[in-house]
Amino acid sequence: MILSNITLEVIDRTNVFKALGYDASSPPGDFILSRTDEIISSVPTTLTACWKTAGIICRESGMVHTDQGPVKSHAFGKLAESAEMAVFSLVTTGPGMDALIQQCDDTVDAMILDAVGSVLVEQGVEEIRKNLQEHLKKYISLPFSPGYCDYPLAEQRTVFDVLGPNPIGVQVHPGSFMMTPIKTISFVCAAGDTPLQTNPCVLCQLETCQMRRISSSPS
Amino acid sequence: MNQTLNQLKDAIVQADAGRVNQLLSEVKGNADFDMIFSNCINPALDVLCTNIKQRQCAIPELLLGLRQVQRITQSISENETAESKRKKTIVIGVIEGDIHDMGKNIIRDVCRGYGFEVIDLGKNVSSEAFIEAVEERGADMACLSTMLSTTIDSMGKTVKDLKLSRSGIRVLVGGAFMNDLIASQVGADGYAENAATIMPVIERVLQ
Repeated sequence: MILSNITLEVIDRTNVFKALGYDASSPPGDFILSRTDEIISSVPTTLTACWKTAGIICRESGMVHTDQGPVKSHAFGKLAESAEMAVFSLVTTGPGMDALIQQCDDTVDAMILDAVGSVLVEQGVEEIRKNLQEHLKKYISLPFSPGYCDYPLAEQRTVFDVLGPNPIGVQVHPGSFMMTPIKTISFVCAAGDTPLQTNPCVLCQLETCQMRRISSSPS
Repeated sequence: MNQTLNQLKDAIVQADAGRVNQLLSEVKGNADFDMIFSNCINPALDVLCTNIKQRQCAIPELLLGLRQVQRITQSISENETAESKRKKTIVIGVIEGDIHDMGKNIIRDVCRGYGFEVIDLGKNVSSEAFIEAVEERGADMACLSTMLSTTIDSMGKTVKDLKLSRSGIRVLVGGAFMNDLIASQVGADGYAENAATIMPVIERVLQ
């Protein structure tokens, strides 16, 4: 398993406002704008990550089987059609961000911090994908997380079987599969020698998914 | 006075603390808590919730308005007993196995703003803890929250246990993956999508 620390230079403000429920037609007011900027400038931007590769050994019923275990998602199977390996990974802000949020006695600040934490860890996932691309010299697919698309949340079990117990200090609840620290993302990517361009959102009709990357409606 | 109350309502919607202070000093002594609640607080929160539904603002604006409501309530309650005027009692918590509590905290603040007595049990709350709180406080409603589909069995058990333990208890559920169908399947009386839509659901269920 490979460990790495990531330090982000910039937190994406636009995504923070999106996470708070704003968009171009409904922008935040002056107070929320300035308070968000204050909070963004005060939070630590270092994340911890780990990852492990697994060779794809066969494909069965539209799903990928690796030498570390199956990835029980047909959408991932489609994404990984031309891939040679899967990469299981975790990225976390660590317990510090959770503590900052819990210590807030103001719900507005807590909500902003929560949004910042979510955006931070999502940016961390993108950094890991870039690192994987450089390290493995492979094309890396979009990340798939348990609980999204058709990848059951219970498959968190497989990710943690691959990465080992308490990887980088992240714990998973045995019943609910909730991870702590909360600002943690687990995911699997496909890696191959040809571009893996399929966007799983194209295959899915759930328009209200907060992680949707593409609209299925004509523009 | 009506004009002043209306202006105070607008000041809450705009989260204008200075204006709220100014108008509150005019209103205090001339209007009781019930009058301020009915003419300012309740309609202001309704406006904010409508604005969210119409995508004219987002949840943070509602929370900023609630800050003003809390200040007004504390200021008025210093001089009179607001307890007897309280609406019903709600017990709220995040279901066992989950610790995502941001949504629950927002719902808690909204319900308090609308005048409900809210007992916040926190997160990772067992069925037994919900029952104990509901019985001890004579609660009228329990609000159960979860972000995780894997806690659905725990939620179903808690709803069932609550209904068995206290006759007439109403149960609402909420969370990222929830909907009316799942709420019905777990035996709940209703489901609220978010903080802007919860109040009509609570009022319907408590009728």
